[in-house]
Amino acid sequence: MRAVLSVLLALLLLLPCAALGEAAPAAEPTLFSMPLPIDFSGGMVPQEEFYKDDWTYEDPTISVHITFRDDLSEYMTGYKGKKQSGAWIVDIRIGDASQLRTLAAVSFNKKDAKAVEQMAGWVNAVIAFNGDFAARRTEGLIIRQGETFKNKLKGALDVLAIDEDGDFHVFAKPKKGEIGDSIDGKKIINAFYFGPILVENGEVPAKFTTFRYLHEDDYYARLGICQVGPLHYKMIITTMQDVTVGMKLTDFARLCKDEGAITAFNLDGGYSAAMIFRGVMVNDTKSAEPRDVPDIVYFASAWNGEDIE
Amino acid sequence: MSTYLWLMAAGSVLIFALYGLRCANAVRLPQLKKRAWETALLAFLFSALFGTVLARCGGALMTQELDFEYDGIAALEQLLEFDFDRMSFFCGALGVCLGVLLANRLTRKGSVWAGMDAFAPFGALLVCLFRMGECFAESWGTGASLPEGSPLAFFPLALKISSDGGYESWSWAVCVLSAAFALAWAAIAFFRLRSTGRTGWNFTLALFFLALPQVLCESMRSSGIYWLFVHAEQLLCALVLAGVILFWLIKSGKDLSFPRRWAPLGIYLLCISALIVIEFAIDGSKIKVPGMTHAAWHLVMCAVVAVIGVAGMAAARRWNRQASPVPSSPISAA
Repeated sequence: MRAVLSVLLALLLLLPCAALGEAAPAAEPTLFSMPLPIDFSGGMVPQEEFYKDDWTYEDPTISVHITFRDDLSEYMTGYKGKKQSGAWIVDIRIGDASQLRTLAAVSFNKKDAKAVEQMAGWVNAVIAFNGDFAARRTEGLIIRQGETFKNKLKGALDVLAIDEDGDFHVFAKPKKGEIGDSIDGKKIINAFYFGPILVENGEVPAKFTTFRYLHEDDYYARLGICQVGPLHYKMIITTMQDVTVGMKLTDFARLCKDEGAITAFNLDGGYSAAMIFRGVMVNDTKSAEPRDVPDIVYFASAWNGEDIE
Repeated sequence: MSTYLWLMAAGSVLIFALYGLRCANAVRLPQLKKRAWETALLAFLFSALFGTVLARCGGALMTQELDFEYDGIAALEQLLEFDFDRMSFFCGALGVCLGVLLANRLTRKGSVWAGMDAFAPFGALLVCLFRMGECFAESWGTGASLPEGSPLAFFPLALKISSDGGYESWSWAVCVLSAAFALAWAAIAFFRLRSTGRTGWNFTLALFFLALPQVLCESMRSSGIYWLFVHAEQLLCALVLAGVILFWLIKSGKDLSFPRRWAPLGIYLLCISALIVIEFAIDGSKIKVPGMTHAAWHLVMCAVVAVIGVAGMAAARRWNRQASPVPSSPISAA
């Protein structure tokens, strides 16, 4: 009798554990903080052993997981064509804010453009995207890797500033003097000038700051950079191929929000939109040749294979 | 920048010295020889001044960088910043032409155009010099990147570019191509066009055939002054070509029927329309032709540019034929 009671008691104790096991979300990888220098040097070379499959890279300092969503009919407001929309969702966690980095084709005060693949290769990017094309604007805010290249704000476009902790801060049409070199005592490492702000404090703004080349009401290829948590980001890029169309800006903002963005910012899209993983361009715009761009934003590994026990 | 400036200064002095020598050799009287050297010296000084000022001011206008609303009067201080990407080559060339024109006006008694004709090959040499100088202007004179390890990654086909962070890559040396075209025209002007044609023949032909290949070269450049995706200097090339063709057509063919008289201009406009379509196709956003790479489109552009050349040459010949040839001696009118 005592044995039976013991077994029953053990089973009762195990039941909540089993329930917990079912409900628990996938374990978040534990990442080590290994700062990279805040300059234009690249990251560590991604190691082949850390490519878990065709769409996943996980090493002790960074995890990148790419999924493709084609169930996006709810984000195709008003679309009456026969094409579908698709979006690449890239979930990225890094151990240190310095692993979110930027690079110019030549320099951020020069207009030269190069292929995103080439620039991604220089800096050993685990994953890389086109940037904001800001070098070709006469006004704006360009802070990259802690260095200010231009600070001439005229209240025209929105700004995304990323501080030394990797946290996003957005500014709607800031004017002269509204953004310094730090926010709440945290140095701005990178600032992008394009926009609009897609999500702020987890909500889609009522109105967007738009300009002509955003094609806001067109079904267009778009690239959003989203923060979903501390050192946890999502990059979302919509497709625009022969058989697929992109999204309207409002729908794209909703998608970013529904993907968990606390803050999301629109980067250059259209025929500039590019995502490079394992050295090749994953997304495809309709261009015969991918457009060269003046700058990239990328995520790098900091793992050197020696410092972690 | 300093290497570039020194090379350009030394090269310009040499070219204007050659210009002076040619003008001096064309006359026998010592007094005229002295005047020829004065013309060359003044032409150099005026050209250096006007060329620099117009290149910078033209660049500032084209880049719209002077923001008086934002910076107030201090915006003008930016005019003293002589970066490569803030200078307009065509405005600089206009300044040089104005300088030579003024020097000829001040030192000659007759038509200044004979002096401009004499300057034409040296102007082409100046273009060649400044285009070659872009090899020292960081990435300013380059086009698309070459793939890593390309066997074509060597000078003069390509130039090595160093980016922030020290990353090195090779890009097509478009400036060398521009320089080669200018050198070719300088040679033609020296050896084929001397003393032929009416006054202004050498100069207008030089303007036309220096601007013509640049339509292609500007399209191939990855740096430059942009209005979004439009190359500002390419537009200026097209305007120079239009201006020269119009000049030739207005000055000739008055006895011809309307279609025959203006046919070269019609062909030019058709070709420019084709070039706009090609630029859109290269950008890929509005027009897409499967299988056509940028290189293939640039080959098509070559053909279109050649057609403009043929149309322009027809207009030029007609203009040249319709007046009794006047020897284009540099000092003849002095």
